[in-house]
Amino acid sequence: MYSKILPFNKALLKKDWKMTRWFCFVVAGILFFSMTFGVIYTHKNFQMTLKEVEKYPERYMDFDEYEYKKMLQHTLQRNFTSLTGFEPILITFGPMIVAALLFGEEKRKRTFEVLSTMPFTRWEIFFNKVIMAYINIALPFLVNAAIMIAALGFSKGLREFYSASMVIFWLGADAFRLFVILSFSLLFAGLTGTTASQLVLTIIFFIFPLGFAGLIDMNMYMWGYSSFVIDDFLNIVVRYTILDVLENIEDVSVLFHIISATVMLIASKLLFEHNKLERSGETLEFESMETFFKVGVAVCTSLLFGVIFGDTNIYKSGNIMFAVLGYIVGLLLGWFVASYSIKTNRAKA
Amino acid sequence: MIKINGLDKYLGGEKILDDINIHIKKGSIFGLVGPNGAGKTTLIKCLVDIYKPEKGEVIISGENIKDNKKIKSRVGYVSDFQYFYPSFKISEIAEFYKGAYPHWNDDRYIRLMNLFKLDGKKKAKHLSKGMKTQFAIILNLSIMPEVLILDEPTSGLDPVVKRKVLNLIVEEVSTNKTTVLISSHNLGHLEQICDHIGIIHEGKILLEDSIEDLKSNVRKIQVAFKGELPEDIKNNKHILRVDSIGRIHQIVVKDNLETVMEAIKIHNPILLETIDMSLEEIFIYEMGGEGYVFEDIAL
Repeated sequence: MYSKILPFNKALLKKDWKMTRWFCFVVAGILFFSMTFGVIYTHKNFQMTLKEVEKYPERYMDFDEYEYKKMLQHTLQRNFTSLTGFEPILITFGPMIVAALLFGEEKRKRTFEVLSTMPFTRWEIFFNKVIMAYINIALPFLVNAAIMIAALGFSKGLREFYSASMVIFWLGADAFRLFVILSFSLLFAGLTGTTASQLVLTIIFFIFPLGFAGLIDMNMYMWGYSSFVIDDFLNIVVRYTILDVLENIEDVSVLFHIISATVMLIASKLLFEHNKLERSGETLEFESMETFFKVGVAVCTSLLFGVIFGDTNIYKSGNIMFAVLGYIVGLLLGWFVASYSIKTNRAKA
Repeated sequence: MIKINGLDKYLGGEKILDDINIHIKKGSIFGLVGPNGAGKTTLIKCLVDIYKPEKGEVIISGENIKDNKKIKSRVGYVSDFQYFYPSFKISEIAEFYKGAYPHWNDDRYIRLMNLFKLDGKKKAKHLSKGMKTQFAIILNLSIMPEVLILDEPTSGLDPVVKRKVLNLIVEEVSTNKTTVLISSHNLGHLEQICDHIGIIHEGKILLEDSIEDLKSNVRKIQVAFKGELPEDIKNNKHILRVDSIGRIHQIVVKDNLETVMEAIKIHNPILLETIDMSLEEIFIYEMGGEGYVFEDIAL
């Protein structure tokens, strides 16, 4: 009888690690050179600057050591509380890419078929993939945090600029962000059948609240209507969208996002269990979603082409006909592209 | 050992399998044959839990295979196309199988790797189709299966390796009493190793029988008369097909050989003998009866 509550499986974890470890090393490297390296060299840089000032006092007449130190401390403080440099890119796209490598790629390459004939339950496959996905994206942050904390032990001067608790706070905040975005990405792993469709749909829906509102906003502006309502609506709603996790962590509604990420994780597990392997390689895992997908793409491209064709001075230049033409062209093009994507992948599958 | 009960499967809204019922005994080698698009691969994918059937069940060793780890750990499956992790080395894939299958046999794996002369350091993406098939066979024999399901296992293999594979399957059945289901278009090979056969056509099982019974039920009579073939023989309802070359007529009869022989004897034939039919001939005549047209093609 299968009695374990959490079905950790060494063979699956090792296999998934081998599939994705290169990405973990790339992220760790980028993070090291874009953040950690700068942080652990802060004190050395500070001392070098002091030496430079000492050597050429005439060049640094207005130099204030205390203010400079304060500025460096503030910069580091900001690095540890909000997303800077490559960090937002790694946090946004890291989970999406890992989820696509672990789910979309296995579907595209049909290795899921092999897995389903092996002595693993669907729950086991899903669980171990989620664990490996999280390890893969969180490990680079953990390793870099460990380096930054270890550096404090080697350099007393560095302790004047940051503390271990600041690094731990940074790690915790990013671990939370990664969890939320990974859960969101996994939702699309259960809805799509290829790597490309998984990535594209994840990115589209990631920016959807702002993107769609932006499209409505541009269209309303073009037709001469005020878009204050949308702005107000966005100001309220954005706090409850996935994009909110990229804000300064102190302004983020952490509890809401943890609950919503847990719900998304459960939903993705249920979707994964209902995935039919005969649809692997297709754009969407569920046939019933195809119409929704085509309509969604058609509406968005229609709104976009309406604005592009109609320009922003619709009444001044008499471009109403062009705007209407843009809506029609966008509608048809969007419908065609979505249908073509579904058909092409179906033929390949 | 394997029981397929009332299996229905739809793909893209089309019914691919229609009420499939097959029983395969332990230690038997069951050959699954059928024309292209008959539903062989779909049936096999339902058997190994890749596809979930809309109706019916697959019972192996008394248990439903659906999401069943215990049963799957004793079922080996070699598909028509091999899907390995392309960036993995052969040895890494074997390591993965070793970790997944509790009855994995290292000695057997090494022996088979030596037999097929495969290099463990090679990456899966660098293997040819034939090498992938060989490796899949090695892996699935090393898990010590109780049931082995093979979909076109000899396609893409050279004649020597083909022979090796068929011998291995027979050896596996004789030493470990493994139950084998094998699908192939090469009926000559199936005839050599199978004891039972199932013919599938348009998603339905047309015929399921032992090769011995099948061959004794469908026979060919070679007959010659002084004159033309008598009308009552031509129109005999037990005759599946008549081919004539000059005065020699080859008559294919199903189930009622004695009755037809008696009817022929009344006309005092100058030649009358029965000939055994190959599995391929039986398949063609059975399929012909189902409207699967075959013609002698002259280019």
